[in-house]
Amino acid sequence: MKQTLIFAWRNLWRNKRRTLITISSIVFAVIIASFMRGMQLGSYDKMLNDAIKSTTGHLSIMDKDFWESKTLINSLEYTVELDSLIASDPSLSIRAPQISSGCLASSGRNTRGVLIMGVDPEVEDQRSGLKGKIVEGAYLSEEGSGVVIGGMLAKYLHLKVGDSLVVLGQGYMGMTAAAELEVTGIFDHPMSMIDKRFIYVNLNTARDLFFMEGRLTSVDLVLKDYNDLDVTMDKYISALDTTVYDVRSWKSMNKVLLQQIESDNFFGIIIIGILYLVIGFGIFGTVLMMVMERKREFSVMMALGLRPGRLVRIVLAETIMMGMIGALIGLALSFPVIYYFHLNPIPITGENAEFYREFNLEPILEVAIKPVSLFWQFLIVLILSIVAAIGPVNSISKFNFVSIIRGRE
Amino acid sequence: MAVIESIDVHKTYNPETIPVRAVDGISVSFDAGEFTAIVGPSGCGKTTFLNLIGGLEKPTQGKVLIDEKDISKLSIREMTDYRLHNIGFVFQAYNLIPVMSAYENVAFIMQLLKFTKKDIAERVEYLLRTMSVWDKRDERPNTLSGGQQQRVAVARALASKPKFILADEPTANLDSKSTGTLLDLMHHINETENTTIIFSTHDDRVMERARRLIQLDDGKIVKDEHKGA
Ligand SMILES: Nc1ncnc2c1ncn2[C@@H]1O[C@H](COP(=O)(O)OP(=O)(O)O)[C@@H](O)[C@H]1O
Ligand SMILES: [Mg+2]
Repeated sequence: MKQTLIFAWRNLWRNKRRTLITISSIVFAVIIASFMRGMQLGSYDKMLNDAIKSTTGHLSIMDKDFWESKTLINSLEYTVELDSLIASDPSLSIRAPQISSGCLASSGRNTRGVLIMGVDPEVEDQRSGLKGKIVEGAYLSEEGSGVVIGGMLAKYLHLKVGDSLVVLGQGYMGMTAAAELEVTGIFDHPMSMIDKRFIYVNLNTARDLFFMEGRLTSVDLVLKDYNDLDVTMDKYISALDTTVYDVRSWKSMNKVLLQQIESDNFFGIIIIGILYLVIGFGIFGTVLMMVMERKREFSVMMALGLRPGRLVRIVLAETIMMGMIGALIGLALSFPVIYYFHLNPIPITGENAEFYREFNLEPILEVAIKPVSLFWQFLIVLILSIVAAIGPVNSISKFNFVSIIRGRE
Repeated sequence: MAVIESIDVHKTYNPETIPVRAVDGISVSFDAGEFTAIVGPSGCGKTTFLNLIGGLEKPTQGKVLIDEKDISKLSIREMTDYRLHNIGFVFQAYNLIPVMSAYENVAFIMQLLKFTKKDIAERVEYLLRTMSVWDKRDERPNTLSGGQQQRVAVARALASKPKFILADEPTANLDSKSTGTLLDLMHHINETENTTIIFSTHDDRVMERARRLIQLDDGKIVKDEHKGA
């Protein structure tokens, strides 16, 4: 074994230039691939954490018919059991009880269909940073019945802080829900849907308005670690009575984002695949040359009594060494690059920037540092080297070494 | 006692198309300690015959017995192992592994045969000294002269103490001085270690040194001459 390795190592440097070129191409591919992947994973991280956090949450618990009907009849009773189940779960970073319902909002001069969002002010700020988006007046408080609305809605309804608006809708069990509420704050939200149509109130105000004492439309949950998604979802599905409750993941609540991530991921992997395919052919060419130019040498060794398998192992060792050197140097060099762009995010421009803003995200790209992904690059290069070596290495045992020694081939 | 015996051995290439009877019914035996030259013009079948008795090729007809064991019946893998354990080869060229020093080239075969470190060190030193290339032990083949390379090759062929050594035109690429030295050393080994050496050549000066001359023509033995000891 040790001998094979020493032997392989020396052979590798018989043609320094070729070996160096091959290794450089691997280094280059690994850097490009790690960086590209880091960028992609960074953007998914942002989506999966920041975007999801402020919209649907990773998971949401609701009445089993609520997602389809979106009416308060299908709201859920917020039981002590449910509350303690969620409160005691250490894998959650945010637990957001909420009451949301469509209503008409009128200021006397104009009327618009809106979504009333009854939220816990503190929690809502954690989720979406709403407090920081207030440009006039004050943010919601636990007390009182003030509302905060987006700038665009305020403009449409001609409302200022201190004015009041009338909301009219349907409460739980079909009662009429109507109230006159004071605008206490105006926010500027990058998601135009929210800026135009969302009215935030605290939970008590929403409960009073919609006759929802002890009830919620949903509890949105945000995980500390996104990787716990499936486990946590299963946990709630088995803990809760599914004839009453529906536990939804963001994937079914935000299919657009899911598809966006999936197709982006798919194309990203294809591009890296093509990159590695090209590199793989390079390795193949090098190994083929390494075998072909040593035909005579190998033939003499087989004549002396070396089994072809031993030569195969030597060439395989040479290829794997080349791959590993390339992959290790590549990773060593990509780490500072990735780290730099992790600390200094790349600004996003154009259409993509719009997409980010629509999801309430800052249009910048933090390149993710994912050891697992780097490990994959290493593994891919290793497998690639072995696959590229299969053909050339196989030809060794097919050598007609007697003819080669005689000089007939 | 015969170390090698060929019984009516034939080798015909391309039997289906244009048959070439490279070896055409050779029966001969070699005793331990022989120093024999196989001679004859180019194309007479020298290489083919050496390959047959060395287990590199299989006869199309006849038997090759080594220590009374018929090696033509072995599988390819068994033949490979058989060569490693029993036969020392020296070819015209490309004998040495370029990335290994002279020392390592000789030690390599012994390592494959799982000799102990101590045995290897002793034997390699002895052989390289005997072949007068001990001072070149750390050099790689491409820094050695053709004659030195062939001496290392002979040392390597001897390393595992094989039953016999087959050398196919070992001096073909050497000048006359190196040829003389190589033959002297081969002779010396033959006498001191009693190693059976069979080599082919078409060089008159080389054949003079042999104690037995087997002359081939058209794949047949035309003369088998023992010179006086
Ligand atoms: N693989 C082969 N296929 C066909 N003919 C061959 C092959 N090897 C050798 N020969 C022929 O066999 C004959 C004997 O060749 P060889 O044993 O190499 O002779 P020598 O070594 O005496 O020059 C020659 O005519 C040669 O052309
Ligand atoms: Mg020949």
